[in-house]
Amino acid sequence: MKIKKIICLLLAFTVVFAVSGCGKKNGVTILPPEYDSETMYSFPESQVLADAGDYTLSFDGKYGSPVIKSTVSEKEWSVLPADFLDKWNYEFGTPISQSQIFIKIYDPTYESFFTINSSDAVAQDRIKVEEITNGLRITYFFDEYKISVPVYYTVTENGLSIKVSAGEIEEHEFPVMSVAVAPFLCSAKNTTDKDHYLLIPSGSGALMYTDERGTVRQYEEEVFGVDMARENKWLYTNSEQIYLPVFGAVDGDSAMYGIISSGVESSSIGAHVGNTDAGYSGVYPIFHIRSYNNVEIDIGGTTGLKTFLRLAEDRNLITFEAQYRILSGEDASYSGMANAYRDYLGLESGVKNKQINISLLGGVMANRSALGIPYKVFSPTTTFNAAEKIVNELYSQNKTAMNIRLLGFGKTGLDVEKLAGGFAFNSRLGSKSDIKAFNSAANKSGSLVFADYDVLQFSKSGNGYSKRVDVTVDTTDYRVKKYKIDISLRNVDESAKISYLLDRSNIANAVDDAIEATNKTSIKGISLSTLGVMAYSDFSNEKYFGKLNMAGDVSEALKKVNAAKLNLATASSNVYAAVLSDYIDCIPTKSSNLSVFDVDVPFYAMVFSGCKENAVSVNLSSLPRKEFLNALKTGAGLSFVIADDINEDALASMNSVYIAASYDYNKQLINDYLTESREFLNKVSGVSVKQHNILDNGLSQTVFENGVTIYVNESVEDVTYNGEVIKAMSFNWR
Amino acid sequence: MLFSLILCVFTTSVSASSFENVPFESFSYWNSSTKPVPVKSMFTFEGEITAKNFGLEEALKTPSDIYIDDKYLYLLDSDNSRVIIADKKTYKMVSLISDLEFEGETLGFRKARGVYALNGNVYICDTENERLIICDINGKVSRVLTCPESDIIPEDFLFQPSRLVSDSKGFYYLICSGCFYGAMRFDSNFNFLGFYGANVTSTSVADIFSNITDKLFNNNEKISGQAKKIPYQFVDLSVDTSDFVFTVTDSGATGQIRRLNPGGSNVYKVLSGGKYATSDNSFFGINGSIKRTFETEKSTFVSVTVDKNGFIYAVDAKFGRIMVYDKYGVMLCAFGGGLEEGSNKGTFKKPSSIHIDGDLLYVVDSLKHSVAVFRVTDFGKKLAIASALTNNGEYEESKEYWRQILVEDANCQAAYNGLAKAMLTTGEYNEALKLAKMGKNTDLYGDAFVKVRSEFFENNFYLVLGAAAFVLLAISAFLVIKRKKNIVIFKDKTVLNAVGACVHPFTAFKNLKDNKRKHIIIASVFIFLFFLVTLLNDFFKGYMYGYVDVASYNALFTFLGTSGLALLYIIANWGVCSIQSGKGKMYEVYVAVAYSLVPIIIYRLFTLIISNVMTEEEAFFLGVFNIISLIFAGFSLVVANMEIHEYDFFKVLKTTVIIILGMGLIIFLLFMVIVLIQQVITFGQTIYNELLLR
Repeated sequence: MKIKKIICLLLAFTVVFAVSGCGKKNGVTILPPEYDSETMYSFPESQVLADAGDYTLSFDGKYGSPVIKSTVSEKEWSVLPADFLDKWNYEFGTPISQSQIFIKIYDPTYESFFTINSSDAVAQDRIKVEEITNGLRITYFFDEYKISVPVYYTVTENGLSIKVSAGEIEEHEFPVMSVAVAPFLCSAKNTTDKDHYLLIPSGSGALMYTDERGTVRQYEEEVFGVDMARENKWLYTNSEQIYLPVFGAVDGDSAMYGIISSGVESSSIGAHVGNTDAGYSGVYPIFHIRSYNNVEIDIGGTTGLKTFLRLAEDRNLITFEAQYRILSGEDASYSGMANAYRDYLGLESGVKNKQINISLLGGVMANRSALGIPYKVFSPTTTFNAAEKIVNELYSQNKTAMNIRLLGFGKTGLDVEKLAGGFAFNSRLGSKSDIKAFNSAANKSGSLVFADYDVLQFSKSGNGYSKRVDVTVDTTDYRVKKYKIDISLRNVDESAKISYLLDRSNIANAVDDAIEATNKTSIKGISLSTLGVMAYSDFSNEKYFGKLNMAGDVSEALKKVNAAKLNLATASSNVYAAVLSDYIDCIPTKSSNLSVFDVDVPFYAMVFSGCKENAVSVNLSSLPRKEFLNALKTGAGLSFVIADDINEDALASMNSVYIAASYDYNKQLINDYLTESREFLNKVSGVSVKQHNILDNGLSQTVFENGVTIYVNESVEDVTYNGEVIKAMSFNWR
Repeated sequence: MLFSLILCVFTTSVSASSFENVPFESFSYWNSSTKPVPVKSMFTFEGEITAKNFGLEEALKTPSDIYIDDKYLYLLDSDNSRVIIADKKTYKMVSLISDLEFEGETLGFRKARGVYALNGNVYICDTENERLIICDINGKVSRVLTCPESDIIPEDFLFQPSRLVSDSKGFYYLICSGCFYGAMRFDSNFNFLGFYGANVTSTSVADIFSNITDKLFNNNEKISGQAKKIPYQFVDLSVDTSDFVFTVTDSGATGQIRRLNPGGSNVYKVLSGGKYATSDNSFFGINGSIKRTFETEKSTFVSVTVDKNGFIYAVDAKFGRIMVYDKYGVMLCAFGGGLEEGSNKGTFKKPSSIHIDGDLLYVVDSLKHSVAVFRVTDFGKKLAIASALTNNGEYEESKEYWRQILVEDANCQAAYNGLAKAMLTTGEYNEALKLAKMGKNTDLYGDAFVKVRSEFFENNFYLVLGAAAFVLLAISAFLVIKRKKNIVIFKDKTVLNAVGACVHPFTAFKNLKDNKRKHIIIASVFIFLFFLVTLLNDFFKGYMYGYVDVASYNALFTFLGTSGLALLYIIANWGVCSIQSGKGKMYEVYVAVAYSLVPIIIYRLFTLIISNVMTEEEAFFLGVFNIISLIFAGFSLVVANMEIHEYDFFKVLKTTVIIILGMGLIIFLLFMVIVLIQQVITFGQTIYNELLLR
């Protein structure tokens, strides 16, 4: 009888589970079949629809295109360039880049993505234009796939706003993955003139000149980096992430730039350059409506692992917004955009940089063997006593205060094991009195000390964080595993340790714990390097889909550090963390270095110059002199990574930070570089960059708000400019 | 930064890649290991040369080769059938060679693969048209060379020139596509002299076995239908300042880079496993699985160039990496990349040619239709200077450079070796010993060790002599006292039997069987010692004999390979002999096998001591001792089996074969059990994960 009951119960459970699995098909939400493919819409007459401040928004009835106009400069910017519209021939179809919007959709049959554009919708009167307050709502219909996408265009005092609400998109069997809006709004004419270019915010910032070179150069990168909750087990490309969600186009004496202001974490920035058909090159935002993951399954045979796409169950439910602003005259340049974006962020100059900044490397976990029985032991590379000695020596040598970050001082050194290194210093680095002595030595010199905590990654449970429960999950509800990449193969190093990402809901708790741990010491600063730069989804909760709310969550967590009256340091941080930081270390000095880019510009550094303490890492580069010059370009401080004792364990750890971290070497380097630049750095301390120009032959010019100008020559030969000789790999300033 | 985070941050919380201002990561392999070691880059990306730089309207189309002399840069724009000659400093075009005229015929050279220039002549390897075109820089053709007539050139030989170089004595070396006879050597008038330096094929035991079975069981038709093992062909070559020819092959398990002397023999010695050996048996480049498949990919070298310091630069088309090796076969760095995608600056889609000219390194990418230019970094310059000083024997002067290099890049293996060499020649032997160990150079360590030892003996001669005399006297005294006082060391006969087994095996094993003179504890100690001395040998033998990677060493495997194997033999022996009418009991087999191991244990202990006082060359006799110990152990085992199981010699041989098969069967069964257990554990884990995460 008992067995019968158990069988019945099991059957009942099975039925319940089976039924609860219905209603969803492959992660696609099925909407009621209400798609209207019959109604034809006619464009309204051309007319001005709204105005605000110095701008008007009108609608071009002939081509169905919204147009924004600056009443000051009389310059018009259309979703499609006016002179391009005249030669547009619907009959021959249009490339994607010549459309008002284009969308990426998922084909469940072939398990692949493909892109379609709105050209046909416009040509066949299948766009619906509705007037709204201060603008218009245009719905684009993609009849073949039964998809409609409404886009809001509104004029504001500052310019134009374009919004897409993910919840309003109508879809049936083809899920919409992303919507790219207005690929031609922020655009510049194709020409060989160097005053026509696109600003790409990749890493430090890069320019793409708009000359035609036979093939169209295309670009697309996710804002704040690829979603770390997505499997990426091999990498073709070295990339710097987008730290600032801002892009722009300079078209001679006028310019437009865009800022993604909502849904930024789930957006990308794309660009197409040198399209000979269009005659224009454009940069635009791409809003990701839905997230996905690459799931690897071993299908055996010689094929081995095959990657399958698995979509998130729900859309990234948010209203995406990009704001566009117009610049003209002298401001129509990437410098003008940097200044305007600085204002947008509400940053104020007057914050003086520390000329020398150091990161001390605490230690590593070393592999040992007792007659073949392996074990691990912590191997210190900079103890607190050594740190005290270094700080005292550097201060007596340079007579300047420093920002000092303590990296790898946790229980497991630089190795990722327990979260935040167990929220405590390794006792082998020194006693409490050693810490106190080091801190007071630093304070005496006016230096600030920051204890670094990695509050996102861990590979071992402990301190209340379980690697089984408190971790981020992917679209298939499995824990997101992060692997080390073998640098030679650019493939996963299977032999290396796997780590996990802390679930998004626990980030604030981890920061609380870091604050508590710091408060137990005499140190008054926290460094949260990884928190400031890493953005990822957590598919356990729909509010974290598509990396959404990462900026908000991190900002809230960082505000706790401010509230605890602790100083905050980050490194190469995304904009949301950078604006809350007291000190930004290792600011990016290069872009992704993609072949499609023409030249790197210090856009990131320009935005924060004079407003946030920031520094460029010098000594670990293969080109330390170049990094030194990069720092001078924007008046950034000089940052050095130092270890007191680079022992065999440090080398065996294969950690590239150690290869040039020798204290003796860096002591000399600091002295040399500071002697060479001290006067200049004093002059521009706390002053923002007004303008940066790229001149010929490897020469660049930076003008600061106080009129100080520096010429930096990065070439291997001396350059003469305006009768002044600037030596190779050197600088002149006045 | 993002890349660097993905790349490194998941094992450590900070990474240097984020600080790197070159658009690629640089790494090296120490001693042919497969673990990449991050190093400072020797080169940085300078820029890209396209048709625009030459002032040409038409874009480059599949450029395939580049050559640079004192004045000009010669670029073979293959699919456009043209050679662009430009000023090497400004890249301003000075001449464009296309549509050549010769004896009333127009010579196109589409798909040509090589270009070379010498004394005002330009040489175009017109591969598909099977000719070498010689013209001046204005395109005036002076000669067209076709396949020379010679008895040593096979009739079916295809003369498809792909690369040409010459040495300072006026000899030309020409590579033909598909030719596995080596390079063709010509004199200064292009008279064919013969083939030069062909790669060799290696033959394994399996190959020999396969040949024998083919001859025995296959008919001629089948044999002729099988693929023959032929040497890999050269794909590029370069001549160094001493007129030695560096060659590179695109595939092959080992020896892709070779340095050929005038006789065509490979004289390139490389550091592998801490020792120098010719490059024939060394693998160059990258070897591993990419793109998440199970298939292993290997570097495919397509071009090589050598600079005045003897640095060798080889470009690999599979991974897009440029590998730099020094004269002594130490890998300095690998950079570039692209994995046939080449999205970043300084990475490649399909590199086809490489050429070094002073501080600039040029790499032609035939799919990017451009030439990537790299400039040596300050660090790279220091490395070049230090190497040059070492090569010239200016060791004292080289020291400071090597020291500077080490503080800038603590992972530079060449610097440890260079500094160790300098210390050795300037009499700082202990420092040299330490540095050679850090540089994992066992040969150099051995040299330093000899010096340190000599120094020790010189300084402590009387002490050593006194100690030796004391030991001899002590032993003599002991023997005399033992004889006079009739001292018996081993009173217990079972102990005496155990100790004497290695000297008198017949007597000992007979006593074991007939008189039950067994000592289980001593036997167990012997079996354990077998494992222990092997372990001690691995960890504490002299460094010049090799080193152990502590991180990957697993004592369990050593146990399985020593004591475990002995125990497996004991079980299999007992099992097999029980059904083969053997009279031996389990404990007898156990004790006999343990006693038989004594010669090996003694040999390994001896090696452990000798290896710490003598170099490998001095201790050449160890190899002989090893063989003797193995023969002795084997002999003891045979005797033991004969005595214990009461077998004759031939029965022992027969059962030994069955025992070995039995051991294999036991291993197979164990393996099956382990797999089964693993599956059960995985099943349990899956259930647990499902319950936890659902």
